Amino acid sequence: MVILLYLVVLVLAISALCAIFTKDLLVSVVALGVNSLIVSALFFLMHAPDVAITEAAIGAGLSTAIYVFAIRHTKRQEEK
Amino acid sequence: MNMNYALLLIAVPLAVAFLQPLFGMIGKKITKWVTFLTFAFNFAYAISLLNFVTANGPQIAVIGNWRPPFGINLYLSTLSLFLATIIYFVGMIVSFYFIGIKDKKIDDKLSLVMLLVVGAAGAIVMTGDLFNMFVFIEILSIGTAILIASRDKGMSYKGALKYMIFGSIGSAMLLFAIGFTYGTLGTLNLAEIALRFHEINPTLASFIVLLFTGGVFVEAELFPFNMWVPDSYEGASPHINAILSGVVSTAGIYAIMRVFMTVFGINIGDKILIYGKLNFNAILIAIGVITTIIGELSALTQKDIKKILAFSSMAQMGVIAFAIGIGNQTALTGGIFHLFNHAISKALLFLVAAMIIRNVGSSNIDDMEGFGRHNKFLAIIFAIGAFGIIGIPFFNGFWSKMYIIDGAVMRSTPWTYFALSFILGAALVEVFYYFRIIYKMFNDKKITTKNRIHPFAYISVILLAIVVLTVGIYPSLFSNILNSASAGIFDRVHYITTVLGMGVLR
Amino acid sequence: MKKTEFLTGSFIALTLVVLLGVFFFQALFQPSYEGKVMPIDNVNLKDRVSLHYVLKNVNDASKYLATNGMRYFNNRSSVPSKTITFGKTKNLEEGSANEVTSIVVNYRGFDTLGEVTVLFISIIGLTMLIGGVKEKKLRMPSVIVRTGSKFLFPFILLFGVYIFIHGHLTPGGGFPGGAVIASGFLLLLLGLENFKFNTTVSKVIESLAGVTFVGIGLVGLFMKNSFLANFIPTGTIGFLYSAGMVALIYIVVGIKVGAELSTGVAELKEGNKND
Repeated sequence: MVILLYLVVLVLAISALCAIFTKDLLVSVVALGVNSLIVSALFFLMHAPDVAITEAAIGAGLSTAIYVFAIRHTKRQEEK
Repeated sequence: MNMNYALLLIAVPLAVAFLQPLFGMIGKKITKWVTFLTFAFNFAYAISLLNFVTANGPQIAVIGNWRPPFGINLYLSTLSLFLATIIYFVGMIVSFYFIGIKDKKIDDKLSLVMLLVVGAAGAIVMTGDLFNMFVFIEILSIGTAILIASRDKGMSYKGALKYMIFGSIGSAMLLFAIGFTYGTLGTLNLAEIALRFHEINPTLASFIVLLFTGGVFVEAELFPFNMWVPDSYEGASPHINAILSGVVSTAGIYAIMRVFMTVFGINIGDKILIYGKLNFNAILIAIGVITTIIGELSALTQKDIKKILAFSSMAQMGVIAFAIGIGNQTALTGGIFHLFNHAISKALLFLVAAMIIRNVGSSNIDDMEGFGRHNKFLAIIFAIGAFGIIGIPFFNGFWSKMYIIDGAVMRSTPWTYFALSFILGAALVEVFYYFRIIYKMFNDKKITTKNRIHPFAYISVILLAIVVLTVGIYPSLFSNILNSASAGIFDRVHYITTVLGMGVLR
Repeated sequence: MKKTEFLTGSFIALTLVVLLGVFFFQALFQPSYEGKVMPIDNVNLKDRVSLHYVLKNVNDASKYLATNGMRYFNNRSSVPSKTITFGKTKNLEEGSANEVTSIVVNYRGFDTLGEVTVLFISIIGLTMLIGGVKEKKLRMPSVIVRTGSKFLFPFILLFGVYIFIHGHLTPGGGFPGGAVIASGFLLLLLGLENFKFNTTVSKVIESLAGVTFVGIGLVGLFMKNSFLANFIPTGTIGFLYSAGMVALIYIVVGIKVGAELSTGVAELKEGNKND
């Protein structure tokens, strides 16, 4: 159980670092979506189903969509 | 008088704010008038509650019919209601000024956000629960970012982004502090935390204090969390700046006073151990002095009037932090009085600057030369506001600065005298740059002006100037309110027994 | 920004984050002080206010506090509590079967009102600052997506409504229910070729739902002398018609959040039309 928690937190850290260091904003937004999904799984493993449902619906669903719409109206590649 | 009805002070702005989009579909002027009338109702009700509480002692209002510490309560003391009255008064005056401006497309939503920001600031100063304070700080933070960005130019978006970044990091630190407090103590009620804070391990307690500092100093514009002040004030419209410096920073300073002095119990004699003995009072004095020095010296080099007034705001917040850090009752009375004076005078200065900027067309003080010859009335009102901040005798800033100096001298350690010399030197610098603006205005040049000034704008600044002059000539108008307000901060036992005792005796 | 400045800045930021992390972790593992308070990794429910939320005996605890005063705070678990059976116990002080709902809506309902206001002010800011965004045409979706989204939409809506109506019985509540409803509208926005979302109607629904929430609180103020007090009798725990005003508030919050988030997404895609 503890091993599972540590593995999940490792994937969380990897996706967060990927979201920061990439130059393509769309890749960054998808990494943030993966981040929200892993956080939702973490909440479920910590016995909090209400927060897990909320995080999955808002973080991994609507938030990613809003970011993608915002990128459509601005640029896709981050400048140097 | 039934104290639970004091919840109307928070519930009515929220209900009206939810209805404002419907009013906005009818017309834009109606939303501005509705905002003004809501603030007028809040101001009148807060004054009547203040009279009751000054006569009868602090009261609590219970929410949800659950007694504290199990439910949320509001703590209505002289200090809370006094600051709430100031906040609603500044909001009322600025919304009245806002009615007189020509309508733009987004003005109905802007009056809605203004309503929520001032309502949230009033709720912060009245609440008795830690997480409730956090929720209203969040509303305040998001609303302020929207208000800053509403001017719709490039620099306003940059200023709003800077404020949003600082605000988000501050809110995250605040949330960690609340999490640690609940994790060790098991409660979120301020009175119960005050009762049991000594049970926490000192290392963890000092960490909680540091995290809380990071959260609250952003709103109160103190070093090193105030780097957002110049860009954000420059980017916002000047009447929004009046709300920022009059309302938002007042709520931040109240959070510092209430949580650090009453709840965490940090006053003269208590030390927080951070790997050695570190006195939190000394930290507050040092931060106050550094903020004042940075503010005054930066204001010397600026040519944009909004930035000058922004740095002056920052410096006055440093003076108030210095007054809180000294830790005796005289200095704290002076600090609260200075908070009142700053809110009124700075709102006056920003509104006059807004009128001058709309009239002249630019915010550079070189372009305002000769404005005094053209419009003597506005220049004199600007001078009244400036004298109020500086502290010329028989204006209101003089009495509050005298109280602070008196309290500092009463403490009489060499470190306090050293810090006091910097505060007085900063006051001297302040005189210089304010007089430079006034001198430029009364210059002999001819200028051309563009727009007419609406009479509502004149009425709003006249009201503020009347308050400045009245308090300057007759400062003992507020003396018993201020004395009971500062006594309420130091009296932890009275706070705890009022909340937990009245929660029991009902 | 040049490369050396960027590297220096990120080095300083990394040092500060590492310091804060060290502080953080060593604060988590502190032993208890004076033997009174448990350390933070060893959760003891008997020491917390939420013990009485779980046992649903806040009124009994308040009476106990009245007789025992400040000594009560060191000995919280000594308040007597009665057994609660799902489906049988009637007329509790707070009748919802979902613990989280009872804390969020009833014991600390004022914070939920604040959070609803935070969402409201965020969406207002979004619609206010979005001027000048023009609609761009999306690529025409295939026939499977067009048909599938029209077919799926009622089920998504039904699922969202199920989540917030049963908020006091099952995990969920108003906020995820509204988010699922907004996801349904997002599916329609992306899947159909010209779907016009009527933002005027949704703004009216949102305002009326918000006023209803504050109105329920004000009715509590006038009837039971306390804002957001429960004035509807709580029935048997576990039934659909139970838990007093909790069910009403979650329905109102679910409708409000669904309308708000749908408006936000639709305006972000299409731009602000009423100028």
